[in-house]
Amino acid sequence: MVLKFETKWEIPYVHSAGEHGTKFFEALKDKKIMGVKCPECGRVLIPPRAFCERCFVDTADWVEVSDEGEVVTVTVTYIKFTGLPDPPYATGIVKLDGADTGMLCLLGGIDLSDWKKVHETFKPGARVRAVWKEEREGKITDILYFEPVEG
Amino acid sequence: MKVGIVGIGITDFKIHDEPFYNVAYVAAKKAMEDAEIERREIDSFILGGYDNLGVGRTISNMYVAPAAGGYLRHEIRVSEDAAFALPLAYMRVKSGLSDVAIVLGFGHSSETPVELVELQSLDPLFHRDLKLSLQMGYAMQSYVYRNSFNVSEEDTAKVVVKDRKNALKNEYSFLKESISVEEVINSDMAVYPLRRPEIAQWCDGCVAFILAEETTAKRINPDPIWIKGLGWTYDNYFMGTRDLSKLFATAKAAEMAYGMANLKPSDIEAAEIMDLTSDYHFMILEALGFAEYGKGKELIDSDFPVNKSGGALCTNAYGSTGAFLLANLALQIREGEIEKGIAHAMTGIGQNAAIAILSS
Ligand SMILES: [Zn+2]
Repeated sequence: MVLKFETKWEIPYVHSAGEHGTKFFEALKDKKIMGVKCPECGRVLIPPRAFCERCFVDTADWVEVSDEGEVVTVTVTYIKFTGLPDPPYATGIVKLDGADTGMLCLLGGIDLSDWKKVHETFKPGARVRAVWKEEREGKITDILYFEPVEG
Repeated sequence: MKVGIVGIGITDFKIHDEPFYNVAYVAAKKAMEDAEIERREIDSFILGGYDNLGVGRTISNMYVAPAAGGYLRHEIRVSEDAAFALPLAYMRVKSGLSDVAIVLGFGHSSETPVELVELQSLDPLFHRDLKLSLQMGYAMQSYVYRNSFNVSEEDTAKVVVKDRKNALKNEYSFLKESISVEEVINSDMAVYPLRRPEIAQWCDGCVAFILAEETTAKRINPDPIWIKGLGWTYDNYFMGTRDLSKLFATAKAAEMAYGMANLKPSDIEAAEIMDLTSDYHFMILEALGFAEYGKGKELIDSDFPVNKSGGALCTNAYGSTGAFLLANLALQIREGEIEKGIAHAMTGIGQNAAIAILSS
């Protein structure tokens, strides 16, 4: 039998969003999702970044992309992880119309307790749209989740 | 000049009551006993494992360097699965800067909320609020893989059955419970589309290797296990930019290792792979060149030995899983079961890979 001690790290950081992050988060307040275009490969990148890592050049023009797109992948957890929310919750990757990269996001708007239903609803290629927070504050959480587009 | 493994130390893989540095000490001692050398003969101390958040202490080398026998000597650490530390030790020896090196890998999951720790590796502004656990990241790849290549639940269940069967015969493996395909398919959905037995469970354990340059190696051990090829690389951090149906980093790292060894997949007689999920088992075999993309499942009934150790699905200590698999491969060569084999390690959400090709 050995003794056990609980310890904790609580360390407040102050992170800079940088020029690109700032523009992206400010736009969220107006329900706009902004990407940035690489002048060399022409891809519209989300999240926006100062340089295209593939081409190693500065990114150039800002492009507003849609808040609708299609599901690339999804998962739902039914088990609880220490320090993470109570299950079930779903995350996925959505490729927004007008963007060339997928965006990591929460998925919802349906009963997540039934994984068969999740699978039926969020099949690869299924159409989804952003559900925005009423009082937006310029954070990624301004998008509550993506929900299925009917029809 | 070749570089060989002349000593291997593996501790029990279980939930340890002792702190990680005491377990690491046991591994280092065992490796030195195995090589029949004294610690003063070692001139490079290479440490591998997840320090800082991973063990809840910064400068974890303060603990692990003495455990490696490197008291007041120089040490360097690789904050990754310890399999990623092997190339560094190899380079020290190969360059002639070192005659005998130790790689000490520590893996300790039981004290750490690993998912919460791994969440901190996500971008604090764009991604961390999405509360993605490591296993959810794995599962997002499984979903794409299964949909892209029509892989069934029976196919992935067979991986669990096979790994579990092998683990029963391996004295070092953690999970020793046989299971049937039906039991896998009927078990609870854990992280969709993965059921509980399809996801590796956490445990603790440490591994150490003693490496030596050719002449010294032969003096220490008449039959060293030679390091023929090494490869390592990484994929894009942004999951939305990757092709999730394939393991790019594993494929690139393998290419590098095969190139160095001047060998091809058909020359390899056995593989130890870090299958953190059942789907990864197939995806890794494909990326290593043993099957075409989408056809990894065809290997499940073949006689090509994969994960004689039981794989990561049966032994997964955060920080030493890859080193555990590497050690198991080395032992298969030492026992004369095979002459050439490949060991694979993978971290993050499949973004990082390290490969080693060993031979007798
Ligand atoms: Zn570009």
